[in-house]
Amino acid sequence: MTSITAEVHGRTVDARARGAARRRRRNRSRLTILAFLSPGLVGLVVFFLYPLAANLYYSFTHFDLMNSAVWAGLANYRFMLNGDRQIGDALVNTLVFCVIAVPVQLLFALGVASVMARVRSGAGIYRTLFYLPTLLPPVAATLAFTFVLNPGTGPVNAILKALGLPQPLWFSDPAYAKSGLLMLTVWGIGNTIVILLAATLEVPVELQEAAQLDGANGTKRFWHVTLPSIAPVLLFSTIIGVIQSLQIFTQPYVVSTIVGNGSGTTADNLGYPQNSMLFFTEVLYQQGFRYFNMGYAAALSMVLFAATLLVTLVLVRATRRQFHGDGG
Amino acid sequence: MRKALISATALAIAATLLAGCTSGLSSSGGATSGSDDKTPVTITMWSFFTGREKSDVDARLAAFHKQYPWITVKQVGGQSDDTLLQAVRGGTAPDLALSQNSDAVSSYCATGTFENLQARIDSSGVAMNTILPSTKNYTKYAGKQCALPVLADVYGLYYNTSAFAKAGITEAPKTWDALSADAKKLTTFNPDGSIKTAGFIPFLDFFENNVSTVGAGWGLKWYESNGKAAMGSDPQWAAMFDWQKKLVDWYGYSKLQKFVAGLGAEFSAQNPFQTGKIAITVDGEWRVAFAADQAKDFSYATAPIPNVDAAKYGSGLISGTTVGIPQGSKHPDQAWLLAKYLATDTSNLVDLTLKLRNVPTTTASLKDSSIRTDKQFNVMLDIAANKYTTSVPGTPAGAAPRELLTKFAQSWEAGKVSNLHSGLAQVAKQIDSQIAQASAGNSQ
Amino acid sequence: MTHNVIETRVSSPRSQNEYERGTVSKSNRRRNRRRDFLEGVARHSILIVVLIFFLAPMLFIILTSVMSNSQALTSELWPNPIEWSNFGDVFDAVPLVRYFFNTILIAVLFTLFCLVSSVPVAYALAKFRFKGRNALFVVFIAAMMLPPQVTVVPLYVLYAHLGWTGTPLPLVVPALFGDAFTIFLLRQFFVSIPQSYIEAARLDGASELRLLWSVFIPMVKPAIAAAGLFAFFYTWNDFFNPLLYVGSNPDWYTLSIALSQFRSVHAVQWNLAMAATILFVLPVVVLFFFAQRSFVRGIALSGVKE
Repeated sequence: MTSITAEVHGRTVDARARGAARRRRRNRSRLTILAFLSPGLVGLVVFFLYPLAANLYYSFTHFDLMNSAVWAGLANYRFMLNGDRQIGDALVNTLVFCVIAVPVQLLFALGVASVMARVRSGAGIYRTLFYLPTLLPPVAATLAFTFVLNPGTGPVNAILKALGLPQPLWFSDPAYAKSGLLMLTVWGIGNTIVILLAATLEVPVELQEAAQLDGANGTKRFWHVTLPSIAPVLLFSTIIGVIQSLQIFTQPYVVSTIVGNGSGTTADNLGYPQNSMLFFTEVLYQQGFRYFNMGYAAALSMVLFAATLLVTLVLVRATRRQFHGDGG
Repeated sequence: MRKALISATALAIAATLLAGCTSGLSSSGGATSGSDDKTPVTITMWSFFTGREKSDVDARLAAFHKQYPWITVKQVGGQSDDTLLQAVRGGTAPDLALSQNSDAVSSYCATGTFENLQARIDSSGVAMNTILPSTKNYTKYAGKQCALPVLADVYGLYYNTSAFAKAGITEAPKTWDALSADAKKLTTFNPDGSIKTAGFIPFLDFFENNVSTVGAGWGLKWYESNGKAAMGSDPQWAAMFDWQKKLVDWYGYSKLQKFVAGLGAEFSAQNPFQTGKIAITVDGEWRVAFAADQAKDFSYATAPIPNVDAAKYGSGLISGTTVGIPQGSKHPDQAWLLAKYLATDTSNLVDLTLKLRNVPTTTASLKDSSIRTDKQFNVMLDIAANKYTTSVPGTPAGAAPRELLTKFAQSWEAGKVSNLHSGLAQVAKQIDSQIAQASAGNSQ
Repeated sequence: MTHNVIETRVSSPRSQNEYERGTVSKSNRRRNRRRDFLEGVARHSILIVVLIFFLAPMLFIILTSVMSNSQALTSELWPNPIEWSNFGDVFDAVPLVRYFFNTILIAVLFTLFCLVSSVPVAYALAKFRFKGRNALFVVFIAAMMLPPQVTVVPLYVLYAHLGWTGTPLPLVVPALFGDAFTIFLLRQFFVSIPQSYIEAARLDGASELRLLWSVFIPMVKPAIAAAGLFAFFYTWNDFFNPLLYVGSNPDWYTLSIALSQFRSVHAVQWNLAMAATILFVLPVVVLFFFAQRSFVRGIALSGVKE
């Protein structure tokens, strides 16, 4: 009996010891996991969660950073809806630009990528060349474009004049300013081209061959074979594109301050011409960091946050549907 | 459990941060020693000057040091109003600061960015009546004076005398209609219809042509007595915009824009007035110095801007540099001594006038004959001394009213505003709500 | 269908299948060859035409940068005379050396801090199993997609209280706590590394930290390099954050701010502005040419579907 109990006991002792060791390992590994994650976690709290919460609070106050924040209830939101005439323009501009720019950019990138995918040689060189403008810092790129699109002395208008075509005022004309901006953003679309090129090249050869055997020509093949295969990447690029166009700041800022005719050293002309370059982030910057209307800027941030969240959710849901529709 | 711990820590951190950050930065200044305290100290003064101008000011600071040997002043140049604001907010304000943006000073008074100087003015016996009364508008707000003017800019008409002679115009235009007529006579076109040289650029957002400088000749009322914006109610605003649009339409908006886009930079040697591309401009008194420096052989003359009221002809807009003690200044008392010196010491102002070529801001210094150096500049000095010269009233909204008006002007010039009167009324309402937004929470 | 996205295949011939199968008749072959040739010509032409429009602005930048100021104001396209001195004048007009230094310092520090903090986080997200791992990853993605303007007001207030505005600290210190995009990029790559290597090292009794440092990191050097490159370019090109935090202190301006201010301080002198642009871009272009493959890898990584 003692031998059996001893055996049983022995096993239990071993099991307990093993269990304890496992628990110790698990605790150690839990600690390790926490340690590895800690910089990111602290970063999330301080630079992501805290600002979101603080924004909510500030948006209900009047705060100019000189004196303490004064509770103001819904005053900032009321100002947004009633008092600030600029916000309407800013919203429209941002949405219109987003809706137009993202498809145009994507179509251009897709077009270039698909042609590049099918050339036999030199695709690497093309890829590099198309990527070069993306290397330019946005400030430099915008400066270059304001120069090139100068209505009086720019090369573009010079060429148009030589061809006898009308020469628009580009960045000085609200009807054309956004077109100029669109061209500028398409110019920097190298990232997307490379991504789409990589994705297009990943489309399995067998599928293409099968379709070819079935008698599908190039266009049909593209539509039914290539496109579905790269759809997830396309969707991902769309999300990124939308998010980037919602937060566009540098290019319109530089356009307005360079092209606006006013003298003086301050950014008098944000939104020039006639608010067509006034995007949501510009208003945020102006109200928050030039007028120091921090409470109002916080309210604007909340709106931007809500918009981004909404758009992301909508698009992600579409992605998920796409995944399920494909069978993954 | 771990998750709970993490979220608890997160909340704790967030709460601490939030609690600490909602207070303002009202750090009191350094030791409140009176001006009797003679312990050697170095104070910093921020200004927007660079290069030669900065060295000129440094010379004055050395002269100040001779008068007050225990105070050494270190000037930091190249600071704009934006950088000053951010420094004050960031708690790194200098002891004394020069502000270039007279639009904004009233908002500094309202928010406390610049200290209220009234008590100091009263107790120091500063002869405030030597300071030009026209500067009060932009150094005071709601009874609080928070800045002193140090040199100012006045704006007048500059015209190309050889172009005038060629077109047979004998004197500077005294009314706005005369200006239009002269501008049309002085404009030349290229064979393809584009503008070759312009008589006058009627845009209200071009170089020094703006609502304030041009508006000074229209007798504009900016604000009613109750503080509400008066663009919709005062008919002079509509009159000014009407006049301006007629001239824009005569040129052709597109043509004008293309012409303007190809012009050289305002402060470069390719300045369009100095290179003969524009015959008449509204410009500040500093243009005299620039022309002497960049275009010695260019012949031009100056005159006051046209005025709707013949009796007030000879006046113009004054705005200018101000000096104030920012909140957070560590040596406010010594800074005050320097401010007083810069703003009221006649020899200082005279010297700065001669070097920087702005106009001085006290009657005493204006009377000094050594500053009347050339006839173009003398005209500007007369404008400064003219009793009808005005400045734009300041509001807590700082630069916002002028920026909103400029945007309206741009739409109007482009022909995008269908009804001038309702457009002006709308701008007025916008300005009102911006002022209301800026005032909310300010201790008046 | 899994695929390894480390290398992108760029020059794989595609329409050779029929030839390989040997099922095409001789005349068809000739016709196909001609059609392929014409198609190839068409594709190259399209690309070249688009490329001309694409690269034209860069050509204008280069041409204008060697023009005299008065010529830059005209619509003439060819500089005459060629003013190489512009590149020297730029340094006189603006303290460009200081701005270069600032930009390099900030970019390098940001990249270093970012990598040091993000690698462990990405490793944990990819290689450790714990509850809520996917949820946490989604939170990081959310943080990555958040526009910076949303968080900027409270952060600015925080920095103002710390006295950090006007210094480059707000631009660099946050990188010590991970950068969402870098974490995302690295995690995507780390996931594809087979667990077996790690398990083997674990059995040998290595501590996790040692494992990471001596075993894992050498394996993923290319991905880290790519992520580092991205971080570097992001900071080098950034305008909004420097404008906000060091915009008030000319001593710490970065090249982006300096370029945008070529107007206010020295009034747009186009020739100098374009010369400054070229100088600003040069380091980036050089770096790109040396690190091209790493670059492309990184971009492809960011586009990988999960």
